[in-house]
Amino acid sequence: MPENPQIKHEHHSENSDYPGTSGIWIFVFLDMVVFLLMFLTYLSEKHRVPEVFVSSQQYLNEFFGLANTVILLTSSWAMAQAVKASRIKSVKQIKQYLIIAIALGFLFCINKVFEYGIKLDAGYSVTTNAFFSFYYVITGIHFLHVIGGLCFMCVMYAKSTIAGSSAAYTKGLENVGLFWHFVDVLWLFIFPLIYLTGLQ
Amino acid sequence: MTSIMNDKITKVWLVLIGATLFSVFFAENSTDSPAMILVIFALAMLKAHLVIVHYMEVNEAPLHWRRLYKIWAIVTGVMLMLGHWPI
Repeated sequence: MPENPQIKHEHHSENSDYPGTSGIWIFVFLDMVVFLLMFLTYLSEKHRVPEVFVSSQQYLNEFFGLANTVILLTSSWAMAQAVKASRIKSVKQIKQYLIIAIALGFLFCINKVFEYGIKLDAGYSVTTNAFFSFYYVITGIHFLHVIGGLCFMCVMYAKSTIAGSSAAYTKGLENVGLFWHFVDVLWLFIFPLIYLTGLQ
Repeated sequence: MTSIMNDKITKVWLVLIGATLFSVFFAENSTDSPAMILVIFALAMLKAHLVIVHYMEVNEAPLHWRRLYKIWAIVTGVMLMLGHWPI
């Protein structure tokens, strides 16, 4: 079967001079747009029933959100260091930084599950009111992104011993890094939106 | 250790952590609601911009992604500010 010249051109451009591949930039941007729409829907509902949102936000503890912000920012720092180490082909450093990024990702999950547990024990579920529906849906979808990112990072850790010094591995790690930083960027807006505005 | 502290990735992380702690401190102590909304979302926008530029390295990406990612952070921050303004 003859090779499509257009596909060949696209494939060759993936080994380009910019971080990651065009596919990850497209995927992440589309996901960012979806989250922006979720934020706008949240605002629309908050305008409809502001008293429900303001009173419900009082039951959140901003220190859970603060802890998770610090955890994700530090995990992002470790991921950026891992990508940097990959570019100089230092497999030992890649492993060190990936372990830090993965451990912090798991810490985020533990903190989130603990927070959900407290809320559910107190009787605040996804069906309690409009605010708690958004709280569980927005943070829950973000949580699924964290789990996805953790799976990708674990795969890259497992691959690092045999493939860590290859150019293809660096490209893969850049893709995972882009996704992980995007998960961080989302949380940077979710934290003030869900937790901090409740302090006003 | 010194090399880690001197690199750009760590310096950006320190700014991100500082901005996060300040936004929580400001939100807890502010008595002026519009100022609080302005500060916490402006800081969120700044932090998102720093991550997009320095960790995602968007400036190394093709021009259209550079524009779209930076515009997304600004649009999101401004929409969240405006959305909270009259409340």
